[in-house]
Amino acid sequence: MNNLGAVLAALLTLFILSYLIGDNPFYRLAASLFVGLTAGYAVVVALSNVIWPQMITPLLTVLKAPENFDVSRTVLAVIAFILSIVLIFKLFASTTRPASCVTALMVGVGVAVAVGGTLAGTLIPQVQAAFIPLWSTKGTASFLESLAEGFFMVVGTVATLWFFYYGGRARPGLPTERPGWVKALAPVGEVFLGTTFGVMYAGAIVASLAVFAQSWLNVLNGLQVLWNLRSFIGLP
Amino acid sequence: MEAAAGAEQPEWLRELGAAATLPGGEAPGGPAAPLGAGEATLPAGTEAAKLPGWLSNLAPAKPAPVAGVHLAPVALPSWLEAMRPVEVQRPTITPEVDDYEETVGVLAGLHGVLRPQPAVTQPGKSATQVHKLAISDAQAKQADLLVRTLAEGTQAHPAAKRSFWMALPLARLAVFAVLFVAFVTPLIFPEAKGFYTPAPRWNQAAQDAYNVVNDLSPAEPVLVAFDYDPAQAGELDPLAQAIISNLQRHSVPVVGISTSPVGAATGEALLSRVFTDTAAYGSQYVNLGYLPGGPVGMLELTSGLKPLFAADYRGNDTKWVWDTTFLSRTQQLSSFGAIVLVSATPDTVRAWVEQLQYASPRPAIVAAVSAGAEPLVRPYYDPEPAKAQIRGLVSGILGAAQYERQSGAAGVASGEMWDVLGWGLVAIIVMLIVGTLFYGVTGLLSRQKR
Repeated sequence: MNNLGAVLAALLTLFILSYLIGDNPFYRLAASLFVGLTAGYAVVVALSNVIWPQMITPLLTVLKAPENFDVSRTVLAVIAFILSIVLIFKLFASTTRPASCVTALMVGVGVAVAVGGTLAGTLIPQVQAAFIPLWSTKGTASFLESLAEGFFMVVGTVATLWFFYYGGRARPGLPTERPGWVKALAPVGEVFLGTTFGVMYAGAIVASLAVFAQSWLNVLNGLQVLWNLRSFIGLP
Repeated sequence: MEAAAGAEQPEWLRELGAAATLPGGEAPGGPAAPLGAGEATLPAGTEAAKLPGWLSNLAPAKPAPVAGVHLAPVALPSWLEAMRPVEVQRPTITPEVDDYEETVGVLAGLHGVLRPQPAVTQPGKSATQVHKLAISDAQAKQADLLVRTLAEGTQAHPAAKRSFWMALPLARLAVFAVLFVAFVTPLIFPEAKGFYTPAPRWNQAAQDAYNVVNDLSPAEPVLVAFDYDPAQAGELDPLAQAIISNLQRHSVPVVGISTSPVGAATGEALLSRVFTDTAAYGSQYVNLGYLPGGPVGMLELTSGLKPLFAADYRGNDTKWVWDTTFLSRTQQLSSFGAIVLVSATPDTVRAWVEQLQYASPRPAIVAAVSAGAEPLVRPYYDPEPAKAQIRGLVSGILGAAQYERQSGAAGVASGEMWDVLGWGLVAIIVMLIVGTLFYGVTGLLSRQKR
């Protein structure tokens, strides 16, 4: 089975790489397989890991084995079942309204959790982390190193925030432009932003290269398996 | 009738009739119209009577010709000619017919009577378009050309057909060829292996990650979140494998989960590769599978694991998972020694960090991320444990290679993967330098030409 997987992986990798010569049926076959298998697998996992054990099984337990009845799980399962059925009504234009309530509940809960987490988990801690002393005697870094690090942190944070200042003053006869003190410091923030994006781009290239290298290793592995199995296919 | 009329006419009337008679014996106005009741004709010859001199002098004089001025007609320009007012066609008025007979009033029975509502006062629309623009042939051609030009811009034109060889993306193939040669070089030539070694100096964040994992005890399992797809497995599998292999060497139990359905499968494949002993499932590792709900699911995890996972990834029921495995003593998040987040995107790591802050006490969080995600995850790392949201950070193949070297165990990352990646990175650097020089020089030359 592992050998078959290795050969298939090599074959599909070559199909994808065939896009180098342009769009072709092999590439489309591999891409369609990828999309279809991903979607199908996700549905199966959701069904077997979530829907069946957490919603269907508790309801069936009530019918088949009432002695194992769990009130909290059954109530939750019934609520989930009802909401799921109502959500199906979104497929029909005449019954969209009740389904919209379920969607609103999902969106509202998700947004509330995300906003609360962002506020308490990112915004406040990051603001606190930005308050660093310009000179610190902690750690193994020297005084000058700490001073330089603190200076860059403060200047970089403030200048980057200044870059996103888009308020302008409208004067008669002149175009609206940002205040002079913002225009002077915004390019500094631009430098920090550009450097960050450059690092991210470099990281993305390295990540892509790693995936590309692994793909080629899969191809070579598949060819190796085929070479080892040459006696089965009638080759010396 | 005329004799009877003449006999009865008064004498003065008879005299008027004799004076008006023409030599032809015909009344000058033609034969008299048939008389109606009480109607008499005008005396014949009235129109031929000589007009008195004062009346004949009132005739309009003929205009005298203007002498000495001869104006040649000028050729008007076409645009001015086009502005010449078009003669308005006089409205057609249906002529009155004489056979109309009045039927009312004192004129009843008479013909040739003017109607009370003549046609000339009836409102009507001119049949001629007054504002007709006169367009010359040249103008019509230019207008047609403009219309066709505008229409072409909105039409989709198929690409011109080229031969197979001309249609090949040569630049793309050239880059592929260079990378292919770089990848194959260490595999073909043994001298090329080990040519590039990972940097000996390790950054503080990666060292902290190693220390956190190394200091764990077998009594405290580790929760590993496999939040990446098989597409990113090429980069993250070596990293995750290095960490999990280190955990296995320290006999630390591993619990796998994932917030994506396919990530659960990726995690299962990796755990099966590391824990080759099939009996290890349940005693050394368990894969709980897919955690639905995204950030909501992560938040619920802080309240407990058991309500969220009624079965594990392999379909074993809740009784087996929570009562017979090592999870029987680890049902709260606080029971874990550490949480390892393996993710390709910074958004997932951020969501985990934001939601796990509600867990108290919170286990140490270690992030193993893609090289592209590291800049956005690093702000959450702090060397001081009291301030840190993430206690350690390892990224990419380089991080995996250094981790393997630190832990003293050879792995995929520090072996042929690093050799291939090293040569590929050199090829990319060379192409970037050559490309920058080439386009920079050609750009300067083209600007000079202009």
